Amino acid sequence: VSAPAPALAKPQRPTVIVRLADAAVAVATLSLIFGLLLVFFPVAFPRIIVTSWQRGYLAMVLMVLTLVLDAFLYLRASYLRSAKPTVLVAACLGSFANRRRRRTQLSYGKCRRSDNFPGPAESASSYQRGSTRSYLLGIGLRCFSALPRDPASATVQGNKLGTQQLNPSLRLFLRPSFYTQAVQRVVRWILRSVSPTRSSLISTF
Amino acid sequence: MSLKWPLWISLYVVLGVLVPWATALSWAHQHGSEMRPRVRQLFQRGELGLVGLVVVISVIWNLLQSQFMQQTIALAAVLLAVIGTMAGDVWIESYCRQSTGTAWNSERTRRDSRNLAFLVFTMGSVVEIILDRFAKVAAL
Repeated sequence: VSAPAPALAKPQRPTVIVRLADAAVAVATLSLIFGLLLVFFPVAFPRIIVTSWQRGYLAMVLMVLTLVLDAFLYLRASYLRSAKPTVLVAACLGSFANRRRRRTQLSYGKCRRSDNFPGPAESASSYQRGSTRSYLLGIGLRCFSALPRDPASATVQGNKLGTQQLNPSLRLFLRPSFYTQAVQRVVRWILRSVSPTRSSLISTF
Repeated sequence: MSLKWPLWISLYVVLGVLVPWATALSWAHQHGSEMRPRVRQLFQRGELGLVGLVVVISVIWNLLQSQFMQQTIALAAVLLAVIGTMAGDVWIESYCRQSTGTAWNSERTRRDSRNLAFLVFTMGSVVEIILDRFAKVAAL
């Protein structure tokens, strides 16, 4: 008689609470930029707004702006907390690159998977593994580090991509040292410059 | 760029930040105390949220005097009032935590009050700029 199988323990996912005070700096910066544009371009900037409104672009621009701001706030919170995105949030973020993803797949460091976002089964092991920062950065870099969707065309050894079977004309543009590292540095610089202290998102007092 | 915007900003900075700091220094000097409070220490209990609340009150008052539609005025006033109330609540929460002995982090309180005061200040500035532009257009 075999022993009963132990119940699978549910992984404890960290709860991230983003309050208004945490997101206030980003929103205030946006408001400050808007005010400065109004002061320094008192005629041109309102005219652009009015023209966009009359042509029906203003609502779309505001929606895109809001989406980008929300995505930025979420990625920053995830970066600071090293938390994994849930499936729903990841799907929302993944909608940025849905068109491109039909032809490409993510190839970035440890994130080399045909499916970029984890399911519940993988969350536990990844959470126990520790930092998932490179994973989260890969979400932001998916548009910049894509390879043709051929399983045998790219291999991963550490953080390097193998491009032996790629079209030779693409090799120059697909070198990770050129694109991914540059964009990675820019993303890290932005994240650090917005909030130099990692303790700004501590969920409990 | 008009000179009144730097004056408007400096008015709140001077009366809201520098005057309390100078008053604390003068009090320490008058009483012969060795205390030399810095601005960060003076506002470590979330008092910057109260400064933000004062800014919000003045902006809402100017908004109520404007000739915008009633719905626009109500929406902007409620939005500003909510943010101002949350800025003031930082000080309230700090006071309650200190009074009841609950865990209290001065660095976090100061950071929250600073962030919310910055948000209140920028939003108030935008509202004031829009009010100024609208008044100029209406005067034509």
